[in-house]
Amino acid sequence: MMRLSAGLFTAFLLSGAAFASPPPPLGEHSWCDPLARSIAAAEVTSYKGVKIAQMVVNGKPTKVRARVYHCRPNRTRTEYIFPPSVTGTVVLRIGTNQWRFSPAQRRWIAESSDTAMESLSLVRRNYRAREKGESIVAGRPATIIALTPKTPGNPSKTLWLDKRYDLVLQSEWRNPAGQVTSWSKFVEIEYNPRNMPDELFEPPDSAAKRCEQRLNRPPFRVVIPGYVPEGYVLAGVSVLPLGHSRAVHVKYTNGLNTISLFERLDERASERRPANVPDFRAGVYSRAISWRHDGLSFTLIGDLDTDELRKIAQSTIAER
Amino acid sequence: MKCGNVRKLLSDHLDDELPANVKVQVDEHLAACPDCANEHARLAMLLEDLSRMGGAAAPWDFWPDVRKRVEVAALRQRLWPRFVLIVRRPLVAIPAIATAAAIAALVTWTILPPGTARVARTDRAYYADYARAYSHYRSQQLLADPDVMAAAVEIADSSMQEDVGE
Repeated sequence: MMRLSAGLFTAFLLSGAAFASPPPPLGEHSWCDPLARSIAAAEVTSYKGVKIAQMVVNGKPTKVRARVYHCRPNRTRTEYIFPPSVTGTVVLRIGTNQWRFSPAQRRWIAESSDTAMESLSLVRRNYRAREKGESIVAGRPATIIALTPKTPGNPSKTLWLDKRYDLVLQSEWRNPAGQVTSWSKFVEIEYNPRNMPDELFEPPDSAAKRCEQRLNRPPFRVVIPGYVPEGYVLAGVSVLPLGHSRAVHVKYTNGLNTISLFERLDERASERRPANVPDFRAGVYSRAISWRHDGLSFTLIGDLDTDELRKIAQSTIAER
Repeated sequence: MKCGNVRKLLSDHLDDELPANVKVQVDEHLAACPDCANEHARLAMLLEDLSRMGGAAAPWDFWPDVRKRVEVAALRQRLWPRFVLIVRRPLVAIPAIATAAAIAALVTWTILPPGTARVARTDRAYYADYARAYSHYRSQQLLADPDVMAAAVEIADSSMQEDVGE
């Protein structure tokens, strides 16, 4: 009864949002919480559609078009159509497992099966969620939700949620400086389609699954940074096979944004060198710095101010 | 609407995928043009025959496989005539190839320090794997769009391979 009363009260607050300025934050643990409903939406709704996205790759804005098939609760297949450099790539996700068909290599590659640390309370601790009105996306009415970081120096996010099915129809990332770094939106969507063959979601054979299985034991003493920005928590450490060697992936999250530190043994890293910025070209939409120190090679990737990345880097040198 | 434009739209017309205003224009043209009407009827029959044949679901790698084959065929078609021209003129081709190889070897030997090319490629391969792992981890966050992450890494990967010449 108490929860229902709280929910009705929050609904009352939201209904009055149009008259207030600025609108109040969305309620936590509320039955009318659109974020919670959005997270659960894909588990109860199947769909197929066409999605377009734009992201900055190597400093250039790049547009992508893909066909997406989702079979509830957790099977998704994405077929990339455009640009030509990704045409033919297929990504299949079943739960936390992911396989990628590479047309260049003509084979399926199993990717990480780590379990992500998902926590809406962590998102709420670090971001303010506000309703910003309504619009139409792919012909469907959507509610706009803005997520702004409570700590400066972090990226922000805006979501367009289907008013009936709660699914994210459109999303937009802005970097800490407020510039849009990536967006995606459905241009066509059909809910609970009839003709979606089960074969679309069949994982590749067991040989492909085995080819990139993760190894669990770190091959050296892992360095944990002495400093991470406010709001970030250690989400886990995993071992990543890289050809004949292995790297350790140290992961942090604030609920929406992530920081990754990669460490590997490197015979060329015997000298002590300060953190620097080499010719790192994998700067997909985030910043990265790389350095060698005391027998190890480090690479730090995150959508953060470069000064913050440097502080994290310096703290690993101190720890070592 | 001209016949050429109408014929390009016939398939979509039969699939009922044309916007309403375009469909009206195509219908009007078909009513007035016997040639296009015949083509429309022929295409409709063909589709009817195909649908009667039934069909099995395509294998999971059908689409990428087709794309690859089309690419390879197109490349062969483009390169083959040039190759034939070169082979037919050995007096021109052999000295040219030998000179190019000698210049490339000389440049590589004198300008690049030993092992440079191999080291650069290895580092980039590491970075590509890191970017992929980072991206995958990020795509597992709440409210993330994994399709954006995966596409960004694919594009970055392909541009890296172009740079390295793989």
